[in-house]
Amino acid sequence: MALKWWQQALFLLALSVVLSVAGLANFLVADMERVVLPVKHWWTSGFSYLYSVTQNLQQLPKAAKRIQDLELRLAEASVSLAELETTKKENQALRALVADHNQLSERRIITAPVVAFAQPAIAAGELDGIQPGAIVLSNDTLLGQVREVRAHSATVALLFTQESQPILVTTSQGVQGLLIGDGKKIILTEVEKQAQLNLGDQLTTVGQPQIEQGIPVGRIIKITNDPVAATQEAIVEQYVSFFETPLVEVR
Amino acid sequence: MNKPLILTIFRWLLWLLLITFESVVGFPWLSLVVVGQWLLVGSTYQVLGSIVLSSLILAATYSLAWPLAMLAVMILWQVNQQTRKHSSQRWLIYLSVVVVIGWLAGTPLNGLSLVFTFFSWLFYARWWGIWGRNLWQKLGKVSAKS
Repeated sequence: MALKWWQQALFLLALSVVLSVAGLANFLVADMERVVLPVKHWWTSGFSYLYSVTQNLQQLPKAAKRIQDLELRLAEASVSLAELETTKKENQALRALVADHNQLSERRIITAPVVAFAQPAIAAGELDGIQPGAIVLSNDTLLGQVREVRAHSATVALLFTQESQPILVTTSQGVQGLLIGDGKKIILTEVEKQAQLNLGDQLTTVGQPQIEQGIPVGRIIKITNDPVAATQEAIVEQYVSFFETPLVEVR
Repeated sequence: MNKPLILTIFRWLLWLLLITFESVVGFPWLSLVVVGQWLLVGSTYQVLGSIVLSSLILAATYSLAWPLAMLAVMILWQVNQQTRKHSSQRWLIYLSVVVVIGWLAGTPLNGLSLVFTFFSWLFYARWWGIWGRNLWQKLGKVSAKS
């Protein structure tokens, strides 16, 4: 006797339910998965590859645009680099110019000392750009300052004269004092009692209005340390003499 | 090896490829139609064997319980037996079974599944020789005749 379709269906369903409840169906499905999963994986890989190809194709116009953008930026960067190089060269030139300008701006006037008169003077005056207070040097040694300026000459207050302004100087050890003139000698005064002065110490300017820092003045040839006095004194000798030098420099 | 056996093996392989493909992209629209048309044919024992094997493959592919997969295949088998080809009843039952399987398997309604659903339906329409607005008219005529 042949079974009807619903009987066959019912039988199969009942069989599958029983096998599932018994756990045997899991083995059958797992065995089938061994066949199915590689095929699914194959499809998935294919789709992934297709997707990546599609993505790459989609990005092609963007990549072209990106390359154009990069090329544009490269061109801009090249222009900027060229401008930078030009600016660098200009900067170097300006620096050189500024350095030259500084040198030029230091008005250096070379002139001859005039010693024939009672008052030490130089043969350059207001018309040459000499100004009162300008320092007078010879061989980079400070000799004095311009005191009065006339049209073609200017008087000089040498350091040993009483008219010279006190000049702040220092030794190589850092001992500071005031340089004044008594009419005959150059005297280093106002040196602290405890400060160590040595014969032969070289003196340079500390720097004050119209007098640059570090200009050599002379050397100590005699130290007077009076126990009664509150400060030390020293006599300074200059390396060059205003009266012997053929030319002086006025700044 | 005789010709029907080669044809059967070829159909099974093709169906395996089709259902795995559809499991990757979404719902088993075409594979469940094909299972009724191609595999659930022949003698009673052949049909029963096909039901067992196809339900196992369906269960393994969509991670379903075997009895559920078997029930789905049986419904398709009976739909194939009881309804006329290209009839609205067959179409609606197919649709329902596929939707239920997709729902049970948790098939997401993403862009890929929707695109392949659209293409599958286009394939149906082409297969049935029905296009556009003639679809409902033709289905109606078939339903009236059936």
